[in-house]
Amino acid sequence: MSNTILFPAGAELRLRLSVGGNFPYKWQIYEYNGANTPEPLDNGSDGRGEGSTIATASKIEQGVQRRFVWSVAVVSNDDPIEVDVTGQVLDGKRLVGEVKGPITIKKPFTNCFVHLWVEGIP
Amino acid sequence: MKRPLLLSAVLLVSIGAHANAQSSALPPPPAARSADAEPPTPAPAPAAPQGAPLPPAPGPAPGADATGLSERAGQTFERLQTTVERVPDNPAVDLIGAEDLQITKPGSVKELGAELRGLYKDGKIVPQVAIEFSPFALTLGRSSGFEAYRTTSYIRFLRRITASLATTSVGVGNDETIMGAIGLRFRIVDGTDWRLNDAAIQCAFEALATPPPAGGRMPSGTIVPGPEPSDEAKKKVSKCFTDHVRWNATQWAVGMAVSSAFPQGEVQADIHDLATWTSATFGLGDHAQLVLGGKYLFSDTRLEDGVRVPARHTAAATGRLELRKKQYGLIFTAGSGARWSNDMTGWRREAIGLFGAEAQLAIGGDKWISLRFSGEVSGGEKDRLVSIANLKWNYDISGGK
Repeated sequence: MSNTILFPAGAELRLRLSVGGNFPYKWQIYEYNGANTPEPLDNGSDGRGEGSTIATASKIEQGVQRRFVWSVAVVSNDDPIEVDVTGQVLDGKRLVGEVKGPITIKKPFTNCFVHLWVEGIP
Repeated sequence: MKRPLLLSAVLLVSIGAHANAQSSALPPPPAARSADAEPPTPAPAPAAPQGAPLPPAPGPAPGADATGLSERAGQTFERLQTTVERVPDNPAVDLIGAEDLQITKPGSVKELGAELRGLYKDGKIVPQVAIEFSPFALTLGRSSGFEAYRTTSYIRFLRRITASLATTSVGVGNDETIMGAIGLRFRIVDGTDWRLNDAAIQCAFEALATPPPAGGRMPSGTIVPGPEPSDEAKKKVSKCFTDHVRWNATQWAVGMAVSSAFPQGEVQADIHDLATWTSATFGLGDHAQLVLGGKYLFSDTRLEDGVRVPARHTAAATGRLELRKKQYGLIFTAGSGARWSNDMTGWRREAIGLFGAEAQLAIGGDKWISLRFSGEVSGGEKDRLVSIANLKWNYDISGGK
């Protein structure tokens, strides 16, 4: 089963990351180029409760597949605990699709990667 | 009517090094705690920012009482001084007096399930188990974001609730009884909450960097751990938490626990003890804090060494004032409590008062020396001792802890 998210071609692609467990985190999103090399796209953090977790990745053309990966560093001062990490694709405010999985957060911080593919459709 | 009185005192000198651990819980019991009672699990001292006042030194070594009289008073009032001044981190463990147990903190519902299954084997309760977890963090909190925590008070309240379970055993062979308890702890106000500490979080963000991903084609939906942080990076980020915690931040916690006795491990519904605690700390400027605590304990009637002990109610309250400068600290404590028991002839009341003081002096590095004094005054219808005093010295060098 493919987890590739189908997205309307021509619409502005918005990508949102969320980390559960009420942990602050810092992120950098990359896009893979044709040579499968990650190139920095955008970055931010959720460290003051502002929810600044959305990156804009311009538009996507029909039939084209774009591959993204978030590099995330989650800060913790708690005992190890498993939380859900979610990567979402938005068309404006509308949720088009998401990927979700568990990760165990340890103190003082934990790194993780979230891979997400998007394909343009009519 | 002449009021019977029991008075005992403990004077104690110790040398040591303060712990440099950080805790989000209420501060540890006072260093001036009476040496007579059972020593609780050593709680970490709150971390102090650089250049901050001298942090609390560890309490006295166990078994410091020589006469046994203080021990009797301490037991009579359910370890009044050691357990009243703070809400225990794990109320269930505290209620059954199993502080030596290794506490397991499951990080997922799956792990919790495995631990709970381990509590019951071959139709019997298994002893020597202690579990502590946040019900919210393991369930709804898995997906709850940082923004929600910062902006929503009930999310903070739920996230700070911890549940605890513990079992231990008393007696051996046919006389073995499993003691089990469940408890809840509520951190209602927590000025040491690292999630609300902007300076600590900003410091952590500045100290760490997100690692670059590898090339290749990982499938969509793949969520994998990144590289393990270096020790240096961990140290830098950890330092942010210790450097930006206010030692005398305001806190308020409430705890409760109920225990039951299971003869031979057989499951049965029977309340053995029931306790509630509350404690609060208030910062007084940069160099002082006031700690107030209260405890209520109900102990149901039971057989002890073949003798039926009547049900009893115990209530106690204590206060502690701490003054701390870079080179020295002064601590004053006072408390009182009463116990009511029904011994078939009617309700009988006993009272106890506690007082203490401690001076701590930094002698270089993280070494300190302290002089402590504590005393107890109790009144009961059978006690005939007017006053007893003892001198106790404790010498403990624990540098580098």
